[in-house]
Amino acid sequence: MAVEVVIQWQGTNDQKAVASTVYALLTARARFFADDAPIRQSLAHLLDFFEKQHPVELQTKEKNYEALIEKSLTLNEHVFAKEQGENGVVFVTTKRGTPPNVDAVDLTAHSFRTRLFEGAHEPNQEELKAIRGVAREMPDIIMAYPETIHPVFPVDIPDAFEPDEEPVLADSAERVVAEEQPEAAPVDRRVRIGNAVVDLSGDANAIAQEHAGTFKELLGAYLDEDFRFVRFGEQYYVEDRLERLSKGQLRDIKDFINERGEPLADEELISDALRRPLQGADYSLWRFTINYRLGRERKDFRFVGTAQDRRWVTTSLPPVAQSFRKPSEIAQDYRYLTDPELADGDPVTPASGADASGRLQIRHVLTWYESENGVLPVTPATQLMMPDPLLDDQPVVVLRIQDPQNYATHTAELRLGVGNRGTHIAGLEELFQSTLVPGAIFSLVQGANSNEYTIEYERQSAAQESRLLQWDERRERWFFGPVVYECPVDSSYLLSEERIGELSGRKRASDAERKRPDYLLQQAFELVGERTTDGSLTALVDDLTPVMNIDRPFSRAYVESIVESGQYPKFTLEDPTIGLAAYRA
Amino acid sequence: MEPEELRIEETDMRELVDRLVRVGAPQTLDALTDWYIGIVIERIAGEQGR
Repeated sequence: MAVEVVIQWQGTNDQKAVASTVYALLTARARFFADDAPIRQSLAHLLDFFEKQHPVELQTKEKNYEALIEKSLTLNEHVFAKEQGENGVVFVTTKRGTPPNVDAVDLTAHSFRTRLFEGAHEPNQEELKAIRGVAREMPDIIMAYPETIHPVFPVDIPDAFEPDEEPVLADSAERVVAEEQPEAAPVDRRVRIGNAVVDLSGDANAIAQEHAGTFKELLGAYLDEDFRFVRFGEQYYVEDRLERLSKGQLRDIKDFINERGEPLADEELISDALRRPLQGADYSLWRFTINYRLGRERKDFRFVGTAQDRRWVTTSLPPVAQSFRKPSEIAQDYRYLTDPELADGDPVTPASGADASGRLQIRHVLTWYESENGVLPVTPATQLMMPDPLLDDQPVVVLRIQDPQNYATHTAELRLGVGNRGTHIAGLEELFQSTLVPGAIFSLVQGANSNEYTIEYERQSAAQESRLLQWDERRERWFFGPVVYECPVDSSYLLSEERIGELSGRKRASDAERKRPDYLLQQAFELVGERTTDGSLTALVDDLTPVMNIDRPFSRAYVESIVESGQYPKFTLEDPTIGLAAYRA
Repeated sequence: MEPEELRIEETDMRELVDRLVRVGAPQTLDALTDWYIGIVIERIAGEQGR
């Protein structure tokens, strides 16, 4: 069977063309040779051929064919070996595209022929008789070997088909002499990558350690443009070696996710939707395949996982969050989080506990807005304990939030802010409304995986009951109703009837009013402010902030900035040390 | 002499494809970078050694 050889030719375009032509010429001549049999041709014959046939159209005006051929073949020493024969320089190669193996001293040691005749000898007369099965003496004429028949007419075998001579082994003494020759002067192997200069003459590991970032940037940019490579997250593979998912398989996966009704991991899709074993040798390739292929089906599938936990949802799956306000409204409400000066939040601290090494937590007081919409703000500080999206354009990462005190697990979404949209967690309304009340103090603790968290709070020894703010959807009015809770609370954020009872029976702020922070601040002053002798209302920013958070999320820094910005002269900061603000109508 | 700008050659990429296929599993950019550095070192040494 013909062996297809792919050779990486070295040198200029002319040199590559000459070398490949010589190789084609030699292999054509040696069509019936063994793959590793040497194919020799002298430089003089090659020169003759090139001068008469001009098989290569040279790009340069090279006149000296002899030098060109010799240089071209010498450059490609991984294909041609150069020998000094009796009639000048000879080049030798094999059909494998490599020089003959000169180190293989006895290439026939294990051949069938050698092993078949191992220990064989010429049989004597007795043995011959035994072999032929004759006991008595036979005439010589019968026992004699037939004479060797010589051809009557000499057969003229053309030169081209003459078997080549055996490989000439370099004399060991000569090789020793060659090895002892002084080394050539060190060559300059420096290259420039952007502004960096890299010396490639050193150890590969040291080069990788020192310049990995430079090479990575160069290679990453190239791979993203090269259609042969495909990428999912941080991993790359060869596009045409990936399995393709049929329409039926994609439909099976979509139906499977929709039936389960939650984000599913790629492993589940491989084993349950496609029924492929997870222990197979090609498992990692299948995992990459399913993630890459689903990523291409943007109309039907959406990636919501992380590097460690690759999860998918379908576009037809109901949203995780069922908040009072629309997701786009919430993201807009949290746009202040994009301003680091306004996005003050809960400090991130190391988590306590035996198995909490390296994990972080935040301690948070739940606001009314967060409780109603099941959301939590993600400030730049909180971002430290949030998972990174795997894909560049990934808008959502699914989070698993354990509530060990109620033996429940909740699925939430980390919605990543883009432009003027603030990053926040959504989908916690069931957790907040069944377990906590606005004003509750709890901790969000990182779990074992980057997208797992635990919500923790101290259960009070005795349940408390308060009349807290609630929204009557039917009458579209605020009211205060009794609520029993066991979680610890921050009294300033507990919106009880005693503090803001005036709100009872009122309507919500309209959409237009909600967009005006000064209106909301004015309302907050009227609810919690103290009337002074000059008719103005004063209140602490700490007291205003929880009330401001009924209709729209505000950080303390945001409220303070409204008061002291000067944009609204009716508000003034009377005492910055304690955060005392005033409102003059 | 001013060092030349390193260009990614087609032979480098072919070798990278071959290695990926031989391994039979997707690789991170870090791993591919290590491979690529080795490929470039071999290529440059080969070109200058002749």
